[in-house]
Parts: sequence; C-alpha cells; structure tokens
Amino acid sequence: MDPRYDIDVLLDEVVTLPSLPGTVAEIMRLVNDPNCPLLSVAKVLAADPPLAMKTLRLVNTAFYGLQQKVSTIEHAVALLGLKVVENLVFTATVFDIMAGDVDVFFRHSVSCGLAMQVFAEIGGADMPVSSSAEASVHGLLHDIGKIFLKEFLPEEMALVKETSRTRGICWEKAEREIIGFDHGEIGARLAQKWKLPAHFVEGIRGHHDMARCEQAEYRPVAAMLGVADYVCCQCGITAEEGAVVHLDAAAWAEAHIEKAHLPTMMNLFFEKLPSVDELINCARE
Amino acid sequence: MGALAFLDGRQGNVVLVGARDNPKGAVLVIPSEVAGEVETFPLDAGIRYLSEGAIVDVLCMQARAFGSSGLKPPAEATG
Repeated sequence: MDPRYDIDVLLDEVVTLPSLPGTVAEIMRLVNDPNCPLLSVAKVLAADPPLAMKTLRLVNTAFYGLQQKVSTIEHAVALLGLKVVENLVFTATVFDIMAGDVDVFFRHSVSCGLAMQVFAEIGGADMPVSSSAEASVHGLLHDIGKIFLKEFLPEEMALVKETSRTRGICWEKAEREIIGFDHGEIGARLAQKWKLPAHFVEGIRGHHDMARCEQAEYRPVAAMLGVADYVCCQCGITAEEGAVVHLDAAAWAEAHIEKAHLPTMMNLFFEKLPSVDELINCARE
Repeated sequence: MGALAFLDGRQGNVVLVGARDNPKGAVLVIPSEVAGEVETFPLDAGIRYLSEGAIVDVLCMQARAFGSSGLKPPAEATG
C-alpha cells in the first residue's frame, strides 16, 4: 500500500501542533542563558500561578523522592537547580496535554518516564542522559505524537489498531503502512516546534528504530527509550491495549544498559511503580 | 513460565515459583550433558546464560504473577 500522507503536507494542511505556553518557553530561554540569575526563573514561574502550583505538587510526589517538602518555587529552584525545575515545569505542561487522554496511554508514558529515571539512577554516568529528571521527561514525551495522530486522523488510527492486532505487527509499522510515517516522526516535529534540545527530538524520533535518528550521536538515548518502552510493555503497561512490541537486540548495548545492572534496575522500577498513580492523580487535579 | 533459548545455544525452561524477594522464585531448568538429567539454578545464578531481553521478560512475568506492584497478572495466570 502506498503511504497516504506526506508529513509536511499533513502538518501544513491538517494537523495543528500546539505551541509551547509562553511561561514555559520563557523559562527554557532563561535556563539556557548562562548569566541567568536563579531568582529570575522563580519570578517567571510564580507569575503563572496554575503552572507554579502544579509544579510544586509534582515535586512533592513520591515519584521524585525528596526527603523534605518543597513549599515555594524559590525553594524548589535553590534545592533542585534550574535544570531540574525546567524539567518539572515542562512535565507539568505535558501533563496538561496528556491528562485528557485515555488512562492506558497516560499511564504508559509516565511509567516509561519512571523506567528512564531508574536506568539513569542505577546506570549513572554511563547512561546517555544528563540526569534522572531529564530521563523522566524523555519517557513522558516518547509517544506524544500518538495524541495528534489520534486527534487528527482517528479513522486511520483505528485501522492501525486493527491492522496491528490482526496481523500481529508492531503499532509503528502499521502506522507507516497506513499513514505513511509513525508517531515518532510527528512527535519529533512537535519537539522541534517547541525548540526542545536535539536529544529530545531524536529520542522521540528513534525510540522504535534507532536508525531513524537523523543525528547518530542520539541513537543511545533513542535505544534507552526503546528499552524503557519494552520494559513497560512486558509489565503489561502498554500504550495501546494488546499492542505488539519489538525491541532490536542491539538496543541494550547501544543504550549502555549492562546486564549485571538489570535486576537492580528492575527491582527499583517495581518498587517505585506505585508512585505512578500518585503522579497521574496529581496531573488530573 | 515457558521455554527459553539460552545464550550458550541450549534450550531450557524458566519455572516461576514465587515472588522476586524469594531467591529461588524463578528457576532456570537446562538439560544436563548427562542424558535424561537436568540442571536447575536460581535466576541470579543463571543471568550469564540469558539475554537482556529474556531477563526482563522473566522478571516482569514474575512481578506480574507474584509481585505487589499492582501490575495486571499475565493472561495465563488469570485464565
């Protein structure tokens, strides 16, 4: 079957990807300014009370495992640093986009964030992410393209689901056959529109197939996402009911996940899984 | 749990008998070099024989069948 859509045409004529809220864009700009004083980020965030409240609720969930309660944005910035607060603000924003979606999808995305966080904590400096907070955002974002495909191409996505189920093929392969590209590609376009760093863009693009990364240096983070996705699916936490999952055997080495670390990583993942519910409830408050 | 291909080329089985905190909760069963006999050892001792994907498969199945993480039990466990 010939692919039905050209992604550029689709983005021009059919799909409208959301813009990043102004507060978040400003915080990202400030955090990436080496001369930015800590308090300026806190001021910008405090000027957006709903986002500030959601960020504070998030940081105080068991998911982030802090030993002390954080009650102000200034405290969060001082305690966690600008990059972590940036990731929290971004998480709160993505939650607003995802929270209205079906529960299985949201749970899969948050659980994938947890798996990434655990890999980063246990794997340490060997892992292709700069922090566990950044790793968590990677997991949260990896399937975000599905939201827009389901919103703008509902009939095609229903056919993707049926094709994946009846032929026993991976979801993303069915997307490529029926739509012409997969959710990783449209998710990467969203990340580009939001001016996210390249590691996010390429991680989303290549999480089902590292070879799709346009910049080879980001293949390890794409592979790490593929592994996190696989772990969640093997736990029964799939983004789609009954989805078929495939992981390239090369992904483990590419992601720098050592076999000796796996039992420890998995134990921590299982221990922290209950915190996913708390985070989801927080997002929906 | 089922059949498994080990990295040394042998075919064996994994038997799940308990939760992850039980050292013998997952047991690998591999045919011995002596005909008709089998070797058994706990998962931790047999990790070198398994691929990363197989380790995750076993641990996830064990958590779903016996764990307390709130995971859905595998289909075969629910009948």
